[in-house]
Amino acid sequence: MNTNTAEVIENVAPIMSLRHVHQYFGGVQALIDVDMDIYPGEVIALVGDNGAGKSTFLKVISGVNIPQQSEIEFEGKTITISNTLDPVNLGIQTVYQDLALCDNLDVVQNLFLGREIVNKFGRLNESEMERIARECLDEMGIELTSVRAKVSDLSGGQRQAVAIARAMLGSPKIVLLDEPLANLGLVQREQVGKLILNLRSKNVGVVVVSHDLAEVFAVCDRVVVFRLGEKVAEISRPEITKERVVAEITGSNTFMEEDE
Amino acid sequence: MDEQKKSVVLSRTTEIKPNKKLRVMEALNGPLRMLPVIFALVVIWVIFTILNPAFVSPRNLTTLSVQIVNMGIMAIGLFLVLLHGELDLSCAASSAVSATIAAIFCINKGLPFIVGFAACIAFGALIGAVQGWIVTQFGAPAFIITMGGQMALEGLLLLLLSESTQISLVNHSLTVFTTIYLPTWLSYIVLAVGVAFLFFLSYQSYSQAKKNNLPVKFANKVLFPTVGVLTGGIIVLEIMRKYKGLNLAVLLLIALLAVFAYILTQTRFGVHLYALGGNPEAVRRAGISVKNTKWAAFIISGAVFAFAGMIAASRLQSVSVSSVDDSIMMNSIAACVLGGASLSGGKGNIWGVLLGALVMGSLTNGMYLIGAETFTRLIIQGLILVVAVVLDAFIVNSSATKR
Ligand SMILES: Nc1ncnc2c1ncn2[C@@H]1O[C@H](COP(=O)(O)OP(=O)(O)OP(=O)(O)O)[C@@H](O)[C@H]1O
Ligand SMILES: [Mg+2]
Repeated sequence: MNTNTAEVIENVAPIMSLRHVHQYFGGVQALIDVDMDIYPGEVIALVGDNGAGKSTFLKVISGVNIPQQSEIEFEGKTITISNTLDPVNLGIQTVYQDLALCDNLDVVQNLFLGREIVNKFGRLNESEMERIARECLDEMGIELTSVRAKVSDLSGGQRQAVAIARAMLGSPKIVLLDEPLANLGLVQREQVGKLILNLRSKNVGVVVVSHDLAEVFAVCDRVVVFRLGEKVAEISRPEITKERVVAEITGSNTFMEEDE
Repeated sequence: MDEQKKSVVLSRTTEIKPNKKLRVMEALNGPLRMLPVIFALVVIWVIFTILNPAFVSPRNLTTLSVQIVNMGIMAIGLFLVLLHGELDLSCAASSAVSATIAAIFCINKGLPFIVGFAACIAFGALIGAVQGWIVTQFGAPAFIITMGGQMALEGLLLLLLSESTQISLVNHSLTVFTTIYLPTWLSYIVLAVGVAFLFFLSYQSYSQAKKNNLPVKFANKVLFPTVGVLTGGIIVLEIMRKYKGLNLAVLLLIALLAVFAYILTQTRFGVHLYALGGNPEAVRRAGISVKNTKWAAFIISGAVFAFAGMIAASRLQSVSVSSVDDSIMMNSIAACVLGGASLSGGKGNIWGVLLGALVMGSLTNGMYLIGAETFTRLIIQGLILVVAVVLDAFIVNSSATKR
């Protein structure tokens, strides 16, 4: 399986390639010259300490942050991402660290926000949205008392699940997950793990940001390490070990090298 | 409205049976949201009827219905703005200036009614567009921008009416809105058309639900709403008929409410407005243009304010330098809040606004009828508003489902 993935990566062109991504916030350099390729059917674990720039990088891909400098190719074509609609139209879905749900709307309305189904007169087709929402949640094994419950009435984990379901809806080409395991119980964690593998089997490119190294190593093909806004390491499947990744995150191996 | 949907349990849940009080609070926070304001309305009506039985006479109820049109329409416009988390303090000035434009066009310049009316609505929309553009483009607080707008518009009104301090509309077609009463047969035709629309829309929802294998009952989804509205409509028309019939302005208010009920609950734009009141950043990230959505809401509400101004001018049969009525604005905001809207946005429904307007209007009308002094009325209106908001906060906080 590991060798398979490696072969796939060699033969298949990336869905999306980002080069020389620079993002500043005032004096803060959140991203410095970051490159990344996202391949179909590959799960990338994006790790790094707090403030390393992981969320910022995902927000560049999803159009929330507009970087000062970047070269982006999508399916071989050079593109610019200038708003949050462009990535949605390209088939990029994101689960944000802060979930980005509307508390005052119900689950169905949140799932379909921005891509509501309407009939030919522009009237919302509530029933169709509700059916699809149920199917999607059922498929993901998410348990809710009602898909018409307000999101403010859900538990933290259920909210997380709704945000993830939102990203799964439709047929995304790339799914970005920022801390999808936070708030989740043991069973739900396992489910998210399965979901990620399911996406991979559907040839979706997945980027998972997580501080939970053990969980994320179980599903990823490649680990990318950010440190203080820079990409400091990229480790593929066979070489992934906790020690090595931790060393890259904290930067201790550079010290060791310097010491030697 | 969709009790069916709400009660569907997707899969097992471990639920501790909430105690009775909690359940009541939850119901009040959810499907029975409108109950307190309906209750308040009933209490107010009962008290006034006891104090003066003329309160429920067809004549007074007709007067009351015409009295609340101006406030009700302004409240619709305000509700649109409140929904996406903003506030418009220029509404009173904006509606006065817009109506004055119509008066100048029709009376001073002798242009036909339709030109004056169109100019009035267009001017209101323009004011909304300008203020909305400033608010959305610069992320400025609407509260302040529209306060500035109100001052500027009051100045503009003085400028427009600098020669004559008022323009009389007596006997002019601009007063049709409040002077025309629909003959009974016509009002029943209108009711029939309205009910037919409602039947069509609810039947469409019903068949869609069927098609998607959702549990729905014809009775709940189609029959009860249609029959309910039909019955209510007949009762109202029969009462009105005992005096002069249905006033055109009242019909326009109800039509406007119905149109906005549709827009807010059945279209993407409506959902996006609610969503903006909940979490604007989530709306932005969903790929929706926050600026354009908010801007559109400002423009539409500007047009609605202009229409409210037209109604006011029609009722007063004139426009004047003192047409800017801040108390109408305050009453409209109160109507929205009583009806369940929140100043932080994303809450309430348009029919609640009608109930809120009825509460405020009934108080004004009833107090006048029983010969109470203005100060009594103001104090009581103020207290009711405060009590309503406190009660609402209490219900929301006591219901367990609140996070
Ligand atoms: N909108 C913003 N404005 C200003 N600074 C920002 C903004 N977004 C991120 N930053 C800064 O960019 C840096 C990277 O932040 P980012 O949220 O990407 O970190 P992260 O790797 O996701 O961290 P965490 O693990 O804590 O989520 C931080 O120093 C942060 O303060
Ligand atoms: Mg982060």
